[in-house]
Amino acid sequence: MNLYIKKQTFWGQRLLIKTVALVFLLIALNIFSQQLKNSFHAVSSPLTKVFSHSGQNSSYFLASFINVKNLQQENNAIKEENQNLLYQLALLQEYFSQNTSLNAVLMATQGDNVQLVMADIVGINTAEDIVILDKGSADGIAENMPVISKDKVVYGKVIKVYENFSEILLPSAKQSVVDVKVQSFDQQATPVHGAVKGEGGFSVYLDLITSDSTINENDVLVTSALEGIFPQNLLVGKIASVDKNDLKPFQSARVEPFFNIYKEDSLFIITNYK
Amino acid sequence: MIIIIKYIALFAVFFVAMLAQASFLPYFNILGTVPNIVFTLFFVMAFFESKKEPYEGFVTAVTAGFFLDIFVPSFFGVSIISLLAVYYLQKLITRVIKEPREKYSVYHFIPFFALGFVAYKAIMYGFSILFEFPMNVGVHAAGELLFSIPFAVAGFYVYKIFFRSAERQENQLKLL
Repeated sequence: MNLYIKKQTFWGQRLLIKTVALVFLLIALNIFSQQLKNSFHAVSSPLTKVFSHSGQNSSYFLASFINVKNLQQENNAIKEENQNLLYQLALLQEYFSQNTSLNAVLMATQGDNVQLVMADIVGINTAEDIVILDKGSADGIAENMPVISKDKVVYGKVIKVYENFSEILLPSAKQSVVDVKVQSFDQQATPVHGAVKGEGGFSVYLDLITSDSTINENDVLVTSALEGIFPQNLLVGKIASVDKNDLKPFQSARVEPFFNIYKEDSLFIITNYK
Repeated sequence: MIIIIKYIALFAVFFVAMLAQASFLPYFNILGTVPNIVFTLFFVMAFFESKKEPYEGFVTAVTAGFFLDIFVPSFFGVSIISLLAVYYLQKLITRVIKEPREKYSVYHFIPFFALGFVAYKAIMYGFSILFEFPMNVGVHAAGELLFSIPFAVAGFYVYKIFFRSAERQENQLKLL
């Protein structure tokens, strides 16, 4: 009996020690959370780059092992070229639809005057669709700044900034919403606006397209700048299949996103858009 | 002193595991899912925790949770609390079953691991709603679990063969 009581007391003491230690630890961690996360990324970023490069090389090696390396490279090059062409088409469409002076303003805002900060990817959180970049508040990065690739593909926005690092919410994250429009070559057509929403696992879908609008497979989606975070005409994705239901006020569509975090080593943060 | 060295080693192991999870393994994803190495390592270690060291499982959960929290865009502690809950749940179930864990086969271990993973994801999902951070559940989480199981099984055998046999030998020497 005495032994049982003694054992119970020990168990209670241990639980108390663990609880008190945990509470103090959590308070301390949250007080210094910014510094801790920043220090972790600062310490780990050289190692992360090594891991990342070896991961990339190993995956290429694995791909070559099954004789698809050349195909993959060729495919990547074509995709890159295609995205560049699509971006140029988006710009050309704007030139046609607006007057010359407006075009000049547009060029000024979307061309040389856009300030970009290049950042390397140092971490990928696949469970939350978040990417860690090695630039932070010390480099002029702030929350809600848009992130793009060299091909003008939208990679999301900054959601958290540390001194030397920042967290990027990909368009596929569940909380992400990007206002888009369907790229159209018909000058007289009414622009079709919608929203690309994330559904996790690097997948996105198009929503809030009015039922009377016409959207088709392979239509290209570009940013509409309505939400005020992304500049116009950045590439978002391509419609894979349309889901039209007469009972619903809006139609939706599956979207094949243009972003591919495994393809990019570096991204660009637009620091002066607003 | 040995315990301090052991915990420093534990910290280093989880540090490397987290780096691998965040920067190496994403290149080997299957349909966007990557194995959760940190959780897997934590679960195997907690499953085979030493009975002589009462704080081992607790420290393992806190260390693994700390590294997972670094990549969660929310407060520090969500992963720590989730892993501690999984640890105590696993302890409670094994206490009810009363079978020494060394005797468990891999067929016992896999359902345990799956249950632990589901519990971890469920608690994290609760936190994601409470603190409004993105979190992939459903098919993505199921893929992550399936992808993690081979690593967990490998860890199970490694731990069972090397570490616990070493402990058994130590106990036999003490008896002699």
